[in-house]
Amino acid sequence: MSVDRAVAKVETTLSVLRDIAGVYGSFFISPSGNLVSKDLPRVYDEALFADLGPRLVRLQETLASAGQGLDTCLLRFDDIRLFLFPSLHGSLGVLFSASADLKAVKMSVRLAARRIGAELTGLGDIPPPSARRRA
Amino acid sequence: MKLTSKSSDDLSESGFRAQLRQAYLPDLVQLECLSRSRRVIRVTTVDAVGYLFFADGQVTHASIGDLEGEEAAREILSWSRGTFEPCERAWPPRATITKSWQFLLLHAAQAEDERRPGVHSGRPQPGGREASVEQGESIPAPKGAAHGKAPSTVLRLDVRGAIVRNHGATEEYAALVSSAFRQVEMIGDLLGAESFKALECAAGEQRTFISREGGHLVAVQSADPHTIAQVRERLGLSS
Repeated sequence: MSVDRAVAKVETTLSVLRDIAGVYGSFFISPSGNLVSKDLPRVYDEALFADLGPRLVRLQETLASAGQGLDTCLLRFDDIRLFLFPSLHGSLGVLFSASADLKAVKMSVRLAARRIGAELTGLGDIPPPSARRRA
Repeated sequence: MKLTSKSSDDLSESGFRAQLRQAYLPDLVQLECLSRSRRVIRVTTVDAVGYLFFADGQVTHASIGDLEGEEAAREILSWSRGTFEPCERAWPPRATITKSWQFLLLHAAQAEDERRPGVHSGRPQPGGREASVEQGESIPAPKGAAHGKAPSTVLRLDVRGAIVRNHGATEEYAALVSSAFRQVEMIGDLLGAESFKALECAAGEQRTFISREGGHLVAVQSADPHTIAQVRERLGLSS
């Protein structure tokens, strides 16, 4: 499957997560932190992810080095929460409010990550959108 | 960190050139070590030039003129002004530094504390793998302790990363908690989020909590389900 088709399918999978009340949106970054796809308000643009993606990867590496690896990570801020689910193909992140059902978010993320993993198998580290457009 | 464009003769390969500002050199050391890069970084301050050699996830060598090894690394990590950039330089036949990068950073932070008048360092001594245990830690103060084991690690740091209370944490762990907090703050800033409240991560059965309480950071690790539930309740993370 081509990268473009796979990325389009990832975007479709991400959009389903917004069916959960309180979920603002989600994104998927590659193992090196490149934005693969996002379903977020436009204010979270590609330029922001050029900074955010590598920082999220670095945070995950830091946390993983402190213990026995890293299965999931939940960041709680006063107003929003970010749930990160690392996998072989990258990390799925979901932004949601405190009112969202955390168990529903976690369950949906696991399912979505499984689907995304299937779409990205064999495609390697997906380059960021700007590089994909140039290719 | 202020990044500046490189001139044609100051960099022989793709890379960066950055101004030193406060804690950015420790950040660089952590980044290079976690990414397991093999690279030499030239650090230039007002009156000296030093080199840090990174390989296999560690700082393996450092030099300032004739000064080499751990002593040179400590000196370089004490510099608060100057620039750093990747460069080409001959590698030594063998590593001259055997201490972990966490040890080097912790030692540098302690030295900085000692240079500041009136500042008492609560950091653990680098010579000990596990920081000293202090009594009286009230976090997580589990209710109904009969139902849960004590967490394996309880660590309280001040905003500068100095240990205020500790049970079971190594010096490396304290440095990682401090680093993770800085990264989370930057992530929150990029997302436009309000104040950081807490982080919870899972690895197998083990849960790690890092939360902000007043002016302190509290890190708790446990693999016991009852204790984890109590910590969540104590930190207001149940929902």
